[in-house]
Amino acid sequence: MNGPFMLRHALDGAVSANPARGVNHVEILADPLVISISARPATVARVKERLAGEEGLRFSGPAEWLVVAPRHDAIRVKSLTEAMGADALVADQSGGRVVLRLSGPAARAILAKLTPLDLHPDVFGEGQSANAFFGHVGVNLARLEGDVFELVLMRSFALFAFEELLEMGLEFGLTAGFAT
Amino acid sequence: MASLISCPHCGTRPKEEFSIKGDATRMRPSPQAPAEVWHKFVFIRDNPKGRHKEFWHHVLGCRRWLVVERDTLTHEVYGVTDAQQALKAGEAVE
Repeated sequence: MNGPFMLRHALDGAVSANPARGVNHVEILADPLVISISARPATVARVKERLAGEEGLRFSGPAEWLVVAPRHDAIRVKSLTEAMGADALVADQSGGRVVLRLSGPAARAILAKLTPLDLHPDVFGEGQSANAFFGHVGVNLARLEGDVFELVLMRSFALFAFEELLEMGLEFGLTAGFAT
Repeated sequence: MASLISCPHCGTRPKEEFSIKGDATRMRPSPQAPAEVWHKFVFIRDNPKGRHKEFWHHVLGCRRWLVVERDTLTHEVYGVTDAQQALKAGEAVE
């Protein structure tokens, strides 16, 4: 909680240090990796091909993707930058984003109160991701597996979105804590 | 969240995800154009009733500019295209 602002997590102090863990739980990743990749109009197809199979790849727009991982990894940023060359802009956005993982049988019901996305498994399956409306802010939402969703939020909106998520999860006994 | 727009990149989404810029059929004057022309372009706008083409920005989705053809009275949506494609096809100006 103490220390320079830049080194503090946006949700420091928002949760108890020793949280209880219920069946429906939201985990805050302490030091995640979020890379944004934007292709130039002429190179979209090439970049898309090169990114196929990349782990933690999220769709953000027709020429824009995110690569998300639980731990920050400077080497991966460097190797992706080199792999893309002049075809795409690769930017490490880890410091500017907050990554949450929501899991539990009520995860879909909780999200349904916050986002207009159809989260039925037939429509929004495993590994699928989308940018969408969340409360009043934008989010990149992905389904990692059955009942596990990942949310990538802007750092400055994170506290609002997090508190909104907890409130919507109240009736389901949603608990929250930093990932250990 | 009643009014739905079918984004060509994201699928069907509520209007809350978008920001409306306005008329997609007016030609932007050149920077050197006289003040009267710019005044007309910026301030003198019709408020059409019925079928109309507008620029919509998908702010909370793919962040692309779209051209939405809709009825301003009934909000019936006739078509949504990416603004870049619409410009190429000559369906929108600016």
